[in-house]
Amino acid sequence: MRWLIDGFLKARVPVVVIAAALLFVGYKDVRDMPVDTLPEFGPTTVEIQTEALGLSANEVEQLITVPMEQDLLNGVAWLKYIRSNSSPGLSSIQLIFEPGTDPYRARLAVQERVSQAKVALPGVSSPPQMLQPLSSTNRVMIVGLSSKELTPIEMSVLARWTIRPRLMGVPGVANVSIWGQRERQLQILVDPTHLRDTGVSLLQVVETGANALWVSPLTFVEASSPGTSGFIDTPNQRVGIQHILPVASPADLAKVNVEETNLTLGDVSTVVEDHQPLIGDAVLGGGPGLLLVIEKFPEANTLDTTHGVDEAIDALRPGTSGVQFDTSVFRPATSIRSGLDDLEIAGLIALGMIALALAVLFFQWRTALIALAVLPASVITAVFILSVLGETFNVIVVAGLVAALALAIDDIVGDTHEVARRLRKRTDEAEKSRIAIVLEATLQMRSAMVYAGLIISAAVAPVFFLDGLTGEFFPPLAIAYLVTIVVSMSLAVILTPALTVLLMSVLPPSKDEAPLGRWLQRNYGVILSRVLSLPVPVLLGAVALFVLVGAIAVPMLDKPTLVPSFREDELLIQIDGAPGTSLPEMTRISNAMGDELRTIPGVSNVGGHVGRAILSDVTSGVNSGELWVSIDPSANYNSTVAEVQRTVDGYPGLAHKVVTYSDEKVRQGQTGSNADVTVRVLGEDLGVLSAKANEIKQMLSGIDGVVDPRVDEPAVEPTVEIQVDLAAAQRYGIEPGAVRRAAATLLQGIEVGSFFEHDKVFQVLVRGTPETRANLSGIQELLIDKPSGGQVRLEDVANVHIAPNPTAIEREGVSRRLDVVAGVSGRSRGAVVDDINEALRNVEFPLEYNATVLQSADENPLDRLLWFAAFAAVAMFLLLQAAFGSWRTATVTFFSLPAAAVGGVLAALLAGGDLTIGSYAGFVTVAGIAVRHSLVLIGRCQALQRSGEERFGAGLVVRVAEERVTPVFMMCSAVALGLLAVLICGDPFGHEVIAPMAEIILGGLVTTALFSLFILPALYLRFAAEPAGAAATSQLSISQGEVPA
Amino acid sequence: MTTETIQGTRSNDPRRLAALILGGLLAAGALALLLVVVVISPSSETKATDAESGPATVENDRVILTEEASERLGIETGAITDSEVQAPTGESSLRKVVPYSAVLYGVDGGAFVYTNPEPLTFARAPITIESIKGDAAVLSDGPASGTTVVTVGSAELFGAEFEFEE
Repeated sequence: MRWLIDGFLKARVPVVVIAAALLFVGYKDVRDMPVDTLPEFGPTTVEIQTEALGLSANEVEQLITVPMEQDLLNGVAWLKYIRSNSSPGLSSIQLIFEPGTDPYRARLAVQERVSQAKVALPGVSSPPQMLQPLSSTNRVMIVGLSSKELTPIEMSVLARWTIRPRLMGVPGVANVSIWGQRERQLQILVDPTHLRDTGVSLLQVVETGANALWVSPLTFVEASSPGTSGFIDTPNQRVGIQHILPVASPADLAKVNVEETNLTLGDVSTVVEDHQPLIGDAVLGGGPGLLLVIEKFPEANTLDTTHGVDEAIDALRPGTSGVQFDTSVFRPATSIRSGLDDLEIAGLIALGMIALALAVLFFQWRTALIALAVLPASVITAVFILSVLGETFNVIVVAGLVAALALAIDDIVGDTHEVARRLRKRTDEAEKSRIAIVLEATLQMRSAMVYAGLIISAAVAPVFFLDGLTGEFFPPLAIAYLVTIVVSMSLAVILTPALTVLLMSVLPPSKDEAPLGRWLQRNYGVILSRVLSLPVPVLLGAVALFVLVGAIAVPMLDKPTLVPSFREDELLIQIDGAPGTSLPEMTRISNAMGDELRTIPGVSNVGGHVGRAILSDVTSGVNSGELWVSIDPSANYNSTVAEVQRTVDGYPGLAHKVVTYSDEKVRQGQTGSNADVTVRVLGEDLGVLSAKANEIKQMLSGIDGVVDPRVDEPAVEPTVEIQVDLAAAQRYGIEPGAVRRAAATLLQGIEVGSFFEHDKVFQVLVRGTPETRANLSGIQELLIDKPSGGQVRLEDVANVHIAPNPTAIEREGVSRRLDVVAGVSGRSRGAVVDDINEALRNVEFPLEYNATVLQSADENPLDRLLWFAAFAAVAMFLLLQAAFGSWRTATVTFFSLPAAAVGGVLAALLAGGDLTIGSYAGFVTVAGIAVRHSLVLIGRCQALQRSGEERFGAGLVVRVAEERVTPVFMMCSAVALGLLAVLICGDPFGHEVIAPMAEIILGGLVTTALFSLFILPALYLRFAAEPAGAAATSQLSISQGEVPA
Repeated sequence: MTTETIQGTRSNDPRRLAALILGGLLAAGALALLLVVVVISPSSETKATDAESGPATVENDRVILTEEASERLGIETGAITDSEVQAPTGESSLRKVVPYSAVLYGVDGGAFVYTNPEPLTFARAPITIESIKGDAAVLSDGPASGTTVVTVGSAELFGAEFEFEE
């Protein structure tokens, strides 16, 4: 160590120059670091979606989800959970992998299986699609499109063929889904009554529609094998042949002759241009439009991606005149950018205030300048290392940085003060021995700092062993914290001494200490002597009082939440209508709500969507919607949010929730369920499942500690069930399948072919007229062609009635599921779960049915956390013992440390009692500061004893304590000012996490100062009864200089 | 172990005074810091909604809306009327007819409408639909002719009456 510091001192000029150069380079690198509010969290997940427009939830489950789950996906490597949701028109299968699975290998494993999937229902369902890997906060931007000149269909064509491909090419963009997309289609609308009158069958119309075009997906028409145009070879030239499709509009198609008749399509049907049945729609003020939801890859840079999308849209504007782009529907980049700007400003102000305090209050100009240089250096180096380690720049990393900077300030202040103190004793020495003094001073503090660092690491290390969501949020904090501490300790060896020496020639050390310092020392000495002479019981009583106050205060704090609520400028309002509510009605009421929200002062923009879109992150039905409300940064945030909440609460009949996007994502990220305890019943038949679930519910209400058990019945909605009566069908000579195909064609439509325009492909459909499919009567009256000629009403061959069917069918582990949820109160969750498991053994299940108790969302049970805390405490104690070389000293120090933290607890309580991840960092910092001060103080005492300068006694303690009072005050005032600057200046990035942490540190500083200045010296004096022995074996080599380290 | 005051034996009174002042300053400083902390800390947002009654109350199988809620939902009403309806056989007769936009289907197939017996009060009434022609549902059974029915907003009334959970 000595030769290392010596070397850096000798090469001080190059060191400083290189450091400056590296910082410059590092700063540029740091600016490119990906920024997001939260770190990536959540287990590796792969989602596979299969679209099947028009299929009911039951059909989707039976025909698409189950075959895929059972045959293909169950058994993929590293798979932990397989869950699926089958809703009308969509099968969504989620594969959740073991924690730590590499996402790209998981995708590879899944892709191999998916590529073997055969399309279950050709012409009906699209091939299964594996969704792009998405960030845990996947939505990066929402853009609204509207136009006064283009129709919605024209806008959809533009969006699908021009805008979306361009946006997908922006780096960082994983997916763009379009809400409200109306695909351009040619539709041949048939009225079965009219067909009957003209003597044409439905099949004739379908075949005509298909064969009129170049190619058809229907396998039973001639157009299914289109052939190629070919070419001819003259003796001299090869001439290619190209067929131009004459059909470009509905009128053209209407002129086509119907097979086996003299009539045209226009005679027997109506040919129109229309769009597909909608699964969702956009909600924009002022009329119809489209909504583009842009999602990003994991660890993509939100700011860069947003900027890239802006540039892409600007490039598109000339070619899309008539279309208005609204890029501020949802735009987190704006508040992140302003948060970062505020953070920079706050940081600069904090730095300025720290330097000013050091210079003005304590006359420590050199220290001030060094602080100005080394603190930014620590930050930039730490952030650079974090980016190399692959972390993103998020609020949790920022909190860790800020907390560790408090310790960095302690480093700087401690080192330079020690140097100044020694120099004051011999100011007229030559420069060479000044360098030696700097060397010795730095060396002295080293071991204390190293041990302090190790102790803090022991306190922080358990977080790397946490499970679940907590285990994904704490490590970035710990890593940022530890990296900053290591960087600051390294810079204290490399840069601070070099700068000290260089500055000494510019600012020669003064003879006198600042007036404030002298005054402090004088009066402190008096008070300390009084304190030291207090009898032991009083001392212990004082300590006990502190600890008691803390012990009372701790239970008054709120239950710890993982992350605080973020004050984001975008609010997400989720609206759910009753199951079965129609799309037009949801669109109407969402528009009404949006219009009213726009009138609230402080709301700058409202946009949203209802239902879902192809390949989007929403799997709910048309009865759900989302509204995104943007709040003007200059408006009063709290009152605007309250007004929004009041408005939304005023709409009856709609389940609603007003949250911020980050909060919603964190809530979703908790695997498992939200109830205290959930028993998941697995099986196939919903009736049997329901019976078993109710039986288990009865059983649960008999268990002690279980509160309010209920069965989570799935939502049902009225569904038309058509069941062919086989006898009637036989009478009329019709097959059941034929009934279904005819009904499907008339009610939903069948794709008969495509036509091409430039580079675009559009579908051609045969479908029933709107009147035939408008209501239940229409369905009952549908005329089905008989093979023998003539027609029969659907109602005559089938039973058409309305029955309840689940809105969405959820499966878990290849089985249907039903949850029984309950609360837990009065006993520990573990004990209740044990009883439940015991009771479940006595429940009889039919074949292929069983039930399990789900893991809780909080996967870190309290007893596990207590074990971690115990291990950390033991490690810290042993390290203290190694440092001091004395069990007694270590014991005394260790058990009086909580007294130092009491101020933090009181501060947290006064400020509202929230405990979040920032609070943890605050407490660790406070403890770290207390540990450092203890190590330095006691180490110095031991060094003086070892060198023989002082005998153990009150005199020794007072002398060392007086040396320490000024640096302790300097450090406390510097840290306090710095934190106040960060708290007050604007709304910096990470404010919600840093504020509780800063409060705890500020409060803790007060009690830590009291602890370091009064309690610790007194206790050391009283209880360290093996002074000589301890001093000899102590590892703290804080010597006076001549004694070799 | 006895200790002595290190600072010597100068008179204690100014010392004592100084010590007291220092102690007082320390305490004052601590208090000030804590006060600043309390002032700066963000006031907890008013998340709790007022304890006023919600926009809709359900009692005795009736849904009662506030004036504001009714405006927000955009409730519109029509009426059950007797109209000329042409049967498939060709003859026309006077039948009970309700606007199609008033019809809601229950999960078991039983259809109903929301009637409006008193201002801002709505009650379900079962109906039996014989057929639906365009915008009109021909009823074979239902409330008397002239009954007011909700034609816009009945889906939300349904949601309010059967408070479903997410």
